[in-house]
Amino acid sequence: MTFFEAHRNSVSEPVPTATEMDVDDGNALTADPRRPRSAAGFESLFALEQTPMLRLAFLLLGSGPAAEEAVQEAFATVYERWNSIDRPGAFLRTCVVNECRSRHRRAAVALRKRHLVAEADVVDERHAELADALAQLPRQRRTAVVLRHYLQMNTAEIAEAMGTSEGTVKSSLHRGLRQLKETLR
Amino acid sequence: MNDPFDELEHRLAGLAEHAPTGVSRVEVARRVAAHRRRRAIVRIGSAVACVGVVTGGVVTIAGRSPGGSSTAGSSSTIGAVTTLTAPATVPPSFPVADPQALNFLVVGDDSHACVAPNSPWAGAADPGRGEASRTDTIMVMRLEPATRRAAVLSFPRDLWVEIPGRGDGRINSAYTKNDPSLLAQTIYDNFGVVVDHYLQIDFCAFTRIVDAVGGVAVPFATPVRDRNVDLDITAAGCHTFTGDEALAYVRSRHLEWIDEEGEAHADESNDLGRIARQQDFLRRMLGTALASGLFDPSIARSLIEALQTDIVTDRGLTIDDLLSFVGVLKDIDPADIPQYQIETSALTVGGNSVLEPQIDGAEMNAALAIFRNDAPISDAPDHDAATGASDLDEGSTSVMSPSAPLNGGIVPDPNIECWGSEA
Repeated sequence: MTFFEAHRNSVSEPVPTATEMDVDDGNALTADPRRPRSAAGFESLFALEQTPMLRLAFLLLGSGPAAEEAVQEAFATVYERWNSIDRPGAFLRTCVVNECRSRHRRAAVALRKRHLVAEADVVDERHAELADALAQLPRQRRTAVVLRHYLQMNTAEIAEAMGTSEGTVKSSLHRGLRQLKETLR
Repeated sequence: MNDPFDELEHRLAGLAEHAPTGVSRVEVARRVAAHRRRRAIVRIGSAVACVGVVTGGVVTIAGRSPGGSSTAGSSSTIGAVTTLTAPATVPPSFPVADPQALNFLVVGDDSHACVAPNSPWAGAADPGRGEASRTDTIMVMRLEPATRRAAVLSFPRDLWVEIPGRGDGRINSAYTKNDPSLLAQTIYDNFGVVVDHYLQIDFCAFTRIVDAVGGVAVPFATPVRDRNVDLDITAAGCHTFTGDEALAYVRSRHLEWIDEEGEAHADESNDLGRIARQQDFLRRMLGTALASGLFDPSIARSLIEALQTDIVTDRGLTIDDLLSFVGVLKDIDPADIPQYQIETSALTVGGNSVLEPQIDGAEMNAALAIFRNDAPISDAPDHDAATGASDLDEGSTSVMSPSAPLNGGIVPDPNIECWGSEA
């Protein structure tokens, strides 16, 4: 069985992305697109999603400060479009992915510098190993792998968030996972 | 389960734990304001050109970059605000304010602890003064929680009044840092206005609030400068003030405007023009804060908590009280806040020019009635700039409406917004 075949493409139901928080059915990412908007809605989205989005951005960028910037910028964009977006949660996620794309190069440079000095941030060696392996992935592969295996999104959702086709997502996943496997073992 | 991805997913989740846990809601608000500012540039440029204020052609907006020219001192101030994080659980709304109308005595304390000595606008700190704390901004803000309205009455610092137990003197000599009792009594004895609450805001708080809303933009018809406070706005059009620079601007007492030949002209309205600029600035700051989402319960709370050391209130005013009044303010249209100042005529006492209150006029009495709890704010006499100009009394040095263009455009035109209401 190849990695490609092993993808859980059968997952068709939208899956919650708040990985740790046990959010209710009104999960902001999967909520009824026609629900009424209110300023309170933005604030609860902010409260609910800031940590999950930071984690996503951290996995995509490998840098805490860069992740914070990307997430702040993404929330600012969501705030501005609040009244015109259908699914705020999905839009937020797309914004985070977009912000990470534009910060990827800068973060990669920062990461390289980081390796010149002893890094106390990543305490666990196994975590450091994975962080390094992720850092070696080209951006598209890295994004696809993280969205798939951290957020458990299906390929259609990933394609939407990355603004690309499902075919591209599938090949990015396939190659990304193979590269990860080679690096890690 | 023998899922080949279990281990990868487990490790990804583990690595994600190293991510920061929260972002600053205030920083998000700043970014929203920054986006709006970028979008507003074209619009303002054409708006200014339309009203024919600019003859030179090109309008430059925000000539100074807020980040680039700020000093280590000021950026550490910004840092203190931006490390705020919204609480995990968002309070559903502001506490409800008591429907009773209240007067807040708002005093700007000019201790200069927060102005970095190497700041480009260090002159605003007036370092020659030493440790003595004074005020040059005294105003009473009235809030009507029931009708969700507010009004502002400003007192010129040179106002010549009777100070209880001391005889006649300038109103700002009744000010003592951290003790509003004499100033409140003076305002009551001279103008019949009762002070319910006290807010003393120092430079630190002011600059932090300006920075927290991402800077405040003000339109100028001409370049202006004040060499005493190192203020130099080199181009007409909207200028975005950072905290430090805004402080220099609202404190400026020797503002000059520059004509097309590069000639400087003094603002002859002196203290009255300065008060008008302060009121205009506060209105714009409120508008910016509203636009940037700062008037959100959780953000407002974090900001107030962060400013606790820089804002002195009376003992009866808790953070929840303050929040409830902020909750009233958030529904107010900043353009709809009547702003008055005590009418005056010039007087020379012992060689010093001071301002003698003239409070017998019908307009002044109608305005004072609001602050004396005799009339609701909805009865406020027209404070609109257009009609305010006609209230000018021949031979008097004062104007009813401080928003009216006073002198060569040094008071910003209240009808020009530096960023609008776009979504």
